[in-house]
Parts: sequence; structure tokens; C-alpha cells
Amino acid sequence: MKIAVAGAKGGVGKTLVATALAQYLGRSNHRVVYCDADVEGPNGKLFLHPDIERVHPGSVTVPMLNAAKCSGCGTCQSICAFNAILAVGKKVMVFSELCHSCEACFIACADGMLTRHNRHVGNISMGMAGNIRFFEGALNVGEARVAPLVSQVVHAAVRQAADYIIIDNPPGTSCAAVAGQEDADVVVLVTEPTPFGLHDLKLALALGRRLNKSMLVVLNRADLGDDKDMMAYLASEAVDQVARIPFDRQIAVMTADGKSPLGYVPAFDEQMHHVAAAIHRLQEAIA
Amino acid sequence: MTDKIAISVSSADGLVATMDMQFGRAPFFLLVDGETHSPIKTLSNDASQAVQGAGTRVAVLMAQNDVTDVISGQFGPSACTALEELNVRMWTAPSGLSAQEALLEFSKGNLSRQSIMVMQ
Repeated sequence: MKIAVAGAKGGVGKTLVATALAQYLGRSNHRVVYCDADVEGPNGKLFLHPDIERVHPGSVTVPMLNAAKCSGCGTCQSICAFNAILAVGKKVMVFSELCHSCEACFIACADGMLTRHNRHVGNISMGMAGNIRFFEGALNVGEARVAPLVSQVVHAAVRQAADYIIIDNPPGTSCAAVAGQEDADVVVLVTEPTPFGLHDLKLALALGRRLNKSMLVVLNRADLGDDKDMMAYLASEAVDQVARIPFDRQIAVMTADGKSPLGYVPAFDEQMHHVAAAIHRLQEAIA
Repeated sequence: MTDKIAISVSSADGLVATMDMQFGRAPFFLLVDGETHSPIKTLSNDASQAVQGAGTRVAVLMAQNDVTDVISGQFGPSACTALEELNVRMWTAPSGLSAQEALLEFSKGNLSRQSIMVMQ
């Protein structure tokens, strides 16, 4: 079963929940994969402390111009929807950082002056964190396109033979978030009872609906503020809130120290138990 | 061929138009004669709403109109590379000036030249 842990707002505890869920499910001899797809700021390793065994480059296909033989006809520029190729007079320029790898230019260039070139955008690391198989995508600093590396690390993770594959998603609702959850059987949305948390939950839920996903909601720092609006919204959307992680000093101290509170804070364990139980119920419903 | 100056502006009001500070996203460009500073025409920027690559498209627009110097507030990295490659000189003006005031500062030599070297 593929579980995406997502949510539009940053800093609500997606990685806390994703890593704890991986550890919780891994306790009962399940084969568990944890995939850190938050490639702009992967930090699941801070909780899981994996031993990295292999690092593979992640790359995207971009055009490279054979300028010496190019006729400068400009067909490539007119086909490029992303303004990544410019042609002025006989001069043609490729801006590979703007390229979306649609490959239309390779087809359009009748003279075959554009060749495929791999542009390195980041790295995919693989290893073990205890009995959890660990994957992480890390985008190069300054790289503008996030989704391709997210897709690559997710595809690498979901190829594994496993009982549970947990995909720690990037925040937001852009292409990167779509890439992180499109393969998932269930999306666990993590949020908090604040106006920002509610605002961004609405966006995340709308995205999940568009992708036809089963969704569960985990409220982190559940007793932080007034959750009246949040609960009313969840009721109106008929989405299950399956866990309420307390706003707890011990959890904060442990996470700040790079330790998972699982196994140390009973109230936290109890909530992770609820998340796992909800996932098991969904799993039975799907099967 | 004489120099031709383009100024990124927020409206099509000739020399009294206020400058727009974003090269790629500016809605209009006022073209003026490099010597007399008399307006030639106003170009509208079709790329101003482009999802990405607006700056590179405007760079092409400049080259197609034989612009030798462009005055704006900020140039993105791709636009900067393209303009340099197309031999268009870039000048940055402080915000709040009209096109006319920017031209005056330009002719006094008060605007700073932008280049890839500066960007990096």
C-alpha cells in the first residue's frame, strides 16, 4: 500500500508523521519503505538516521544545440511552449533551466541540430534505517523545476516489494505535490488548527479530490488553538480526522533533538496507532 | 544605424509614462531615438503574463526592434544572458522615475550598467 503524507502548509509536521508512521508500521515485521520526496528540503533523515548505501544522479533531458551547423530557421523557438529556446536572426540560444523536457523541439528540428543532453538536477539516495528501506531525493540548490526529481524518487521507491510505502510529500499544491501523491492509494493530510492550517488544508483537499484520492486528516498540535472552524470544515467535507497529536513539550524537545517521539511519548504513540488503524481499515475496504 | 533606447514602462503614455521595474514583466516598452530622445513607438509586451521565460522573450522583442540600450529596474538571469548575447546594453534605473526622467539620468551618465558579470 502506497501512503502519501501531504499537506499544503509547510511546518505542520508532515515529516514527523511520515517517519513515525514508517517506524510504527515497521515494528510489526512489515516491509516498509520510507521515501522522502520533499526534494527541496528533505529532512526525514533527521529522524530516521539512515545508512546510505547508494547515491544515483537525478537528471532531466534538455536540448543541446549544434550551433555550427544550425540554419537558424527558428522552428524550435516557435514550438517551445516554455520560452526555453530563442532564435534571433541566425542566432539560437537554449536556456536549459527553463526547459520542461517535453522534447517537442527534437521532433520539430528537421535538421537534427538538437541532441538530447542529461541535465543533472539532484541526487537520489538509498539505504536502510533499521528495518526501513530509505529513499531520499535532494534537489540541487537553485534548480527551478522540482517535479521531475520528485517523480524519479517516488518511482524508485514504489518499485520496491513492500507492504507499506510511505511517501513524505513536498508542501504546496503545485506540480511537485501532484508528483508526490499521484501514485498513492491513500493521502494522509497533516495540518494544524490555525487559520493558515485551515486555509492550506482546503487547498490540499481540493487537490486530493481532483486526483481522486482517499484522504485522512491528522491534526498536529491539535490543542494549540481553536479547532471549531477546522472541525466544521472537515464535517462539511465528510473527511475523517483520524488523529489528534497534542501540542506537547516533550514531542517538541525530542524532534528538535533529531529523535522520533515514537516509543517515548505515550500520547504520541496512541495517535500513531489511530493513523495506522485508519490505514488498515482503508486497506481492507480497498481489498 | 543610430542607437535606439527601450524603457520598460507601466503604460502607453509616451515620455510621461512611469517606469516599470521588472524587465520581463513590464507591460510596455517605450522606444526612443538614441540621439534626440524623441519617442518612436510603444511596444506592448505579450510575454508579460507568461508562466515562465518572459524575460527571454522580451529580449528577442528588443533584438527584433533593433534596440541597442534598454533601461529597466531589474533583469532576470536568463534575460541578462539573452540580452548580452544579443548585444543589447542593460541599464538599471531607480524606481519612481518617468521615462523622460530616466532618459535624463541616462544621458547624464547616472545609470549603472548591468551585465552578466554583475549578476554573478
